[in-house]
Amino acid sequence: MIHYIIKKLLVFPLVIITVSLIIFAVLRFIPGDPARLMAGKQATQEAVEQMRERLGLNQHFFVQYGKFLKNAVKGDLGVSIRSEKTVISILGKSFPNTFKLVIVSYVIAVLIGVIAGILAAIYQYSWIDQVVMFLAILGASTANFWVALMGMNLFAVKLGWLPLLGTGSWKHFILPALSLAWYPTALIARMSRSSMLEVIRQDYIKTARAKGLNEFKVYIKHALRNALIPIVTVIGLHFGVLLAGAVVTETVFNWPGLGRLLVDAVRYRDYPLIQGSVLLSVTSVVTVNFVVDLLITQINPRLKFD
Amino acid sequence: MISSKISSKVNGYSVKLKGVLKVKVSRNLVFVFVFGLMVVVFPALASTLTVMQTEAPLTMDPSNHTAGYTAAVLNSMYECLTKFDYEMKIVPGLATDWQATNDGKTWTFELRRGVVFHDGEDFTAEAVKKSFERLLDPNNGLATRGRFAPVISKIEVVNDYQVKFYLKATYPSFDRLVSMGSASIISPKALDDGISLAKNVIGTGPFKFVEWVTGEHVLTEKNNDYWGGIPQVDQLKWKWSPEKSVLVMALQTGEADVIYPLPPAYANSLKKSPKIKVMETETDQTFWLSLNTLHKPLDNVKVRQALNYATDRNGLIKAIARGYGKIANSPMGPISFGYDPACEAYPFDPAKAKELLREAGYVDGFEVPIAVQEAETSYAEALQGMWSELGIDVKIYKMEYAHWADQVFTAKGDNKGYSVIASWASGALDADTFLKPLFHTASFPPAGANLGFYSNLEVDQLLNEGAITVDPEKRKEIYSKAQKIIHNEGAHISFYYAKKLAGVRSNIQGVWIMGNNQIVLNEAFFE
Repeated sequence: MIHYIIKKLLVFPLVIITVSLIIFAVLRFIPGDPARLMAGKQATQEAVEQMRERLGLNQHFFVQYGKFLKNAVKGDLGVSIRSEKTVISILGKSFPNTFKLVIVSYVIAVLIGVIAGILAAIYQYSWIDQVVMFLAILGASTANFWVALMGMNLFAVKLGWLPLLGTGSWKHFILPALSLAWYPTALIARMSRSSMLEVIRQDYIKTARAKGLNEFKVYIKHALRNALIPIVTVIGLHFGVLLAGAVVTETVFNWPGLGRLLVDAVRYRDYPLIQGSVLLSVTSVVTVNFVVDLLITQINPRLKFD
Repeated sequence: MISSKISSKVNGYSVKLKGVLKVKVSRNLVFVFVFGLMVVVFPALASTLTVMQTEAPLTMDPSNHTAGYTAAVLNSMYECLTKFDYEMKIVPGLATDWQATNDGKTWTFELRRGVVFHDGEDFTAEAVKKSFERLLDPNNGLATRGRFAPVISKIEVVNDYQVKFYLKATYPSFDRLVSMGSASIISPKALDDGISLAKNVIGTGPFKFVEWVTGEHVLTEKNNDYWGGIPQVDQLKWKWSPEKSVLVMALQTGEADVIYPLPPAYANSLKKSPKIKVMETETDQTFWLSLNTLHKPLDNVKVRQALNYATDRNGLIKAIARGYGKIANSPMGPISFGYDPACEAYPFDPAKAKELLREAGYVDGFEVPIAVQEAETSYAEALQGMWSELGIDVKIYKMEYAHWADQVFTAKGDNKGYSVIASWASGALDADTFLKPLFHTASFPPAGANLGFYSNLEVDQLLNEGAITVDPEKRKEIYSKAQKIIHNEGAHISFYYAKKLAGVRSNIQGVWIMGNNQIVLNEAFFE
């Protein structure tokens, strides 16, 4: 176990360095010149070149990357091209907002998804199963921005129950968190149902029943623990899905987080800000996946890490 | 909104007070109590006007951007020597008076006294000199330097309240040029101290900068030392969302007090709401398709004319601008100086278009590649339909902003051959700043916005002459001639002049949209 953790921790910086190199390269090869965008559409070529020099974009790719890496190690992710604020200070304000939103959505998706999936499995072919499956198909097949816009129109504009945009109170979380959780909830519910159905047909469940255990104990103690292994894996993978989904959700709800920041940064090719945002996202996804791996070992002791 | 909040809260307290009075508390005590409550309650109800736009500001530096949405935010904090009034006439700003020598090459500005910058510094001629020198210095690489550097030669401080501009050549519309936001006057102390103007604002305007939270908002507060009328709202908060329906919903819920610009598609439904008023103003903004004259067959005047005849401008106004537009009869905006109303718009005449194409030898049609951004895609799609009957195949290349700018603003040698749909409005409301960047040979990309590489020596000469002619009537004549040639040669397909719309909550007064697309909120107040 300790070996496994050390191995993972050693791989960690390698993943981050590889990702940073990819982002750095991709940004410089996609069309769109930040110097031109910054200097303005009508700026002279001379002004564009001056801007390029000022931004350090006229240096060789590896010189730029080397500088970036050297500074990043010291915790300096550069300065935003547009606002001239440090990337760290911008991320420091926006990342907590995204993190809170993703965590709330995560909790909603896991709680509703797992409970609904298990109930659908236990009461297979009943109306509960049919309702859960209908909602799961709906959730998996409707875009979350559409759900967001419909929810905003109904609950904020028509009924006036919830605030429309931004942050400030717990009420501000409801619409963005639900719309962000919409798709993962559906997938987790389907996964939980099929996993549970597979487990409750196993012989050891029949044995448990034959021993005279009540149904609650059979499902929770014997079935659920085994059914949870694939569910937890899916849940772990969905952190990245939620973080990616936050780009759309934050844009629609004016949520001042990483996703919204990234959209603006990409539009104006604010290289340092894009690099910083993506690096931070990747780091958090890798961390969560690592934690999930550890959790799985706790749920399923048969998995030993060497 | 604010006033109703105040009254409901005060009423709430008065109900409680009735109960207190029953136990015979003295009137004086009640007065003290109520007064105390008001002191506590009123500061908490500082009136904040929230304005939402579709794009975030690029920077806080007034001279380092060309974006209208950024200018809207900065206009309430910075001021220029001159400005436009609501009738689009040039009036005093930070300068109270100005004169040009007979040759129009030296301009003397008398400056307003008693003006103080947001950092407490006095506004003097030194501030004007330093602000312009910063703008003109090539080492600063400012985005709008190109508008001023070819015009201004030297700035001289005569005394604290008089400044002289020596121009490189006669420039009769210099008083208009210095009204542009990029010529904002910045605190000399801030410039000396090297404060980053990309994230700070130190001007003389009616609102002071409080904070810019990237990705969230820009907050400003009223400037109690403002030399003009002190604003009635305490704070202006600027927010943005690229999703137009979200903007409209924000207005409906009251989370935004003003949305600008209001997408025309939503205007009619919002007009039905008693809580919202829709403001509309005719502006200089002209939507067009710049035909790429570098390649066949668009290098042929007859083909360009044919495409002009084949374009149903009324259809575009109805379908895309939802009626909020006026057919463009000239390649330049109708509010700018030099516009010629006598220029004749191309009628929608497919038969004439066919005839011209036959004469040009393109009976079987051809392909027209058009580069558009998301917002202009519907124009290209409409043209695709309109021109298909003539056998013309419009290929639409939809690009996101950065890619579009990269593809379209390429030099002649590297040009990709796209025709381009975009719009133009001249901040200075003058033919020189409208026509020269779009049609002069010297304005080929990347330096200018002559995106179709239109080149006509006669037009170049007229535009050069117009820029240095002092007599206004003569200038008009020159620009009229230039417009007619450009129009007749079909360099652009000018679609229409847009009416600019704003959605405003009914309880807000004093909001103005100007003909140069600016929104003015200095006089806004809650009823």
